[in-house]
Amino acid sequence: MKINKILLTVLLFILLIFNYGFARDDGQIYSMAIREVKADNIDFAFMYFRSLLRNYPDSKYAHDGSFAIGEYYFIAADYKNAAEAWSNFINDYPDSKGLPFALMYLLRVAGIRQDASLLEKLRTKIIGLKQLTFLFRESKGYTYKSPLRRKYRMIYYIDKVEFYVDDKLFEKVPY
Amino acid sequence: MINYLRKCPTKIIFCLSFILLLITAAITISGNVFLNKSKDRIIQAIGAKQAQKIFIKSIIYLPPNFIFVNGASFSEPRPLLVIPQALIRFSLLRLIIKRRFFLTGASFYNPRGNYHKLYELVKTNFQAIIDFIKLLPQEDIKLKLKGIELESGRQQDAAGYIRADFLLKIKGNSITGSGLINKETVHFRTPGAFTPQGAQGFFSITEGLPLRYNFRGYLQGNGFSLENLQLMRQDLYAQLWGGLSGSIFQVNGFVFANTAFQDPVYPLPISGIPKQRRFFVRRPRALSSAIDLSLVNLYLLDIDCQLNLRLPDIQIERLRFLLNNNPISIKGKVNLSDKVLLDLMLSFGPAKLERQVSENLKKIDLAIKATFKDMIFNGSGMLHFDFIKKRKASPPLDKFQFDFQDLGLYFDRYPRIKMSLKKLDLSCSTESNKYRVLLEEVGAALHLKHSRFKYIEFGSRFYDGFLKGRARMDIASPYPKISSSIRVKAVTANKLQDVLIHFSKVYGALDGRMFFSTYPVLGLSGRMSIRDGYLQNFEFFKWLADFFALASLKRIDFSRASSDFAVNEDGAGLYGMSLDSQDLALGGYFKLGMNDFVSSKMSLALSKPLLSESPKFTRLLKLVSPDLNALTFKFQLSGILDRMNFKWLRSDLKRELQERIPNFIERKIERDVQAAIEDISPADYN
Repeated sequence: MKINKILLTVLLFILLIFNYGFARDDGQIYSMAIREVKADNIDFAFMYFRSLLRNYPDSKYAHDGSFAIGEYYFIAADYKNAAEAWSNFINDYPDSKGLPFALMYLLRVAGIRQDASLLEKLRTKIIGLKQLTFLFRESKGYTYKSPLRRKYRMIYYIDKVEFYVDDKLFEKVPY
Repeated sequence: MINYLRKCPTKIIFCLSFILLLITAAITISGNVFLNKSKDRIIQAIGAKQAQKIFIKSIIYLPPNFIFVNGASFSEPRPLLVIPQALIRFSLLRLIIKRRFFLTGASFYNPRGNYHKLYELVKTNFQAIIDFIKLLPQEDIKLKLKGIELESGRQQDAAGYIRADFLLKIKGNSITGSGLINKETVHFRTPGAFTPQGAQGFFSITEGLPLRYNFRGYLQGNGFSLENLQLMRQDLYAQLWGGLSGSIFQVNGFVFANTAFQDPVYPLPISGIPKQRRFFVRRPRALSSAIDLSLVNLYLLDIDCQLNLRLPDIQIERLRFLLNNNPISIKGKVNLSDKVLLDLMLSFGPAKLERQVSENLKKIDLAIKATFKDMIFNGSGMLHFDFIKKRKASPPLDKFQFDFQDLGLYFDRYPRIKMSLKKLDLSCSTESNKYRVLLEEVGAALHLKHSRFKYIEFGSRFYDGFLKGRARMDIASPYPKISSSIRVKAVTANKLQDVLIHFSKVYGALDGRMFFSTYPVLGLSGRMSIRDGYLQNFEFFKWLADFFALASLKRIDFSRASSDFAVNEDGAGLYGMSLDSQDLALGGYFKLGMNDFVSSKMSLALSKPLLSESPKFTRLLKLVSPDLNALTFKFQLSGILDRMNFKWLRSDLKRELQERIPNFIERKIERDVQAAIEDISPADYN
């Protein structure tokens, strides 16, 4: 069983290298990445997403790829690369629906690195993302599903913002 | 061989002594006769060099090489300087061989005079004195002044005396000197009671402890080199070195001081007419001159000073030092004429080491033009504080400036200082705003007697009203801790628009009370109220008026509007707001914190007659109970100032409406309002 896994890995590795030679288009690479995500092989999915960004930076899938790269680095606890990836995402896609969650990750990384000035800047940015009115409702929520199939939810209250990842509270930003 | 000397030595010694005595007597008599005859010529010769009238009671020659001068005085015509006794030593050998008079020493005993007159004399003749000294042959000399007593009191109700001893030795190029100086001040308990004719009642004496000094230096071509000057007192220790070359005086050194130290005061009951000489008999008490280093609270280190002395002008080309680790530099000009004129620029950079002092203060600059005469200081100038941009601070101070005109400081009743100020223009700028406060006809009294706490009471015209207050400063720490309370009365609120722009739309008579302190945190708080005024186009009500077509809200007359306020490092806020108007009532708080974050809860009650003006409220009014006289909206604001989130809080009105409006309508209203807000809200915050 163990030998089979190793063989599979080696085969996939060869296949990936082989794929470069054939210069697949961005749609194909993206599909393969998504397939790997569904198969719960996020390491391979990451390789596809990275390949997508390297070879097709202007692709329509680049947005998802960029988000996925940030997510992968964060999951892998590589906070340095995660911070860089999220910063790139925020700069490249300022109107993205995923922007609040990119900021959320960056806020968490700034907290881990104890970067007080960046924390303050990100807090201000998150709070200023939307101007809201609550006439009859107590809160307003926004959702986003990432390329790595993670469910993101952001709930605005009058004096705080809560971020959920896969229905688990991930970050809270009080005003 | 017969030795005759051995036979009668006494006789020979007697003979020799007798001959010697005869010679001495002859020399003494002839010398004294000569001096007596020459006395007038000597007086004339000395008098030719100066304007003062000179009187010498007698000049006596004392063998072998002394001249005793008795009762010399300089007057103009009132006595300027009296030297009761002086002993002059000269070189007898040179007198005989070279037939020239060479002075080798002079001692003056108990010279007394008026300090101010002598100071004036020295000041006006400083260059002539320096030139005279330069002309003197560079001979070894010893100069001694013992028991100098100078009257320093100018006021009729305050007397003071300076006493000093001075010893100067010049040997070759080397100069050494030493001595002491102390000041005695007489305070009369009943000010004004002392007249030239005398005083009634009690008085006290502040006996200044002696300042001992010694110096060592060398004479050089056109000046001198000061190798070391030491100043020692119980509250001061200083070491200076440098020199004078032409008109350039250069000095370096350091000073330690204990500013909390006070000279001892001795109350003395005296009745009748106090004789001035009574004060002279006291001598400085024999106290140690050594400073207690554990009590030192003022350090002047790394003094680097260069002055260009062209008296009465002194050009301060460079004066730099560290005051308790705070670098200070001074440039400018001082003129020592009848009035001391100052034209100075001072720059103060706070200590890098004292982080708690004020972590965001970058620099303080002072520019001042002033005069000082008879213990009165008059001047105008500018005091400017520059701050480092501080990310966390709110409100982030950028610059703080005081412009003052006709500042008068009266030191004649020190340690109580009277202060007057024609105009004080205080301006302050933050990253986003500028604020300005104008005070006129300021009067203040500073009480500096207490060693630790200093007090100030002040009052002034404040626009068309007035301001009054008092403050206390604790100087025990390196950073003064200030706490003060200020009362403002009857100021037209609209005139305060430079203080806070929002006042431009507020009319009415403002009264207020505020408290300012720098410790434990920097903060201003207080309460203000405005009587019988109105709000004209006040932003929030103007928005309501436009949005809901309620024209009456553009001008809201009120009987009273009041609020507490607080400004500190966490932000600025209005608390306990209250506005009583016929058709409107407002209450709640509004806080603006760091990075312009708003936190606010308010209630706004609008009367039914007012709401009926608006067609938008007509339907709303039909939905609510007819028993309600006014509709009260309670709401919460939060977020960033220019993108505030709004929440309509639970209230009877909201509950009543929710009961009547179907859910889908609620959602539609919510969506519509959100869409409207997004349309007018500023671009996304990136």
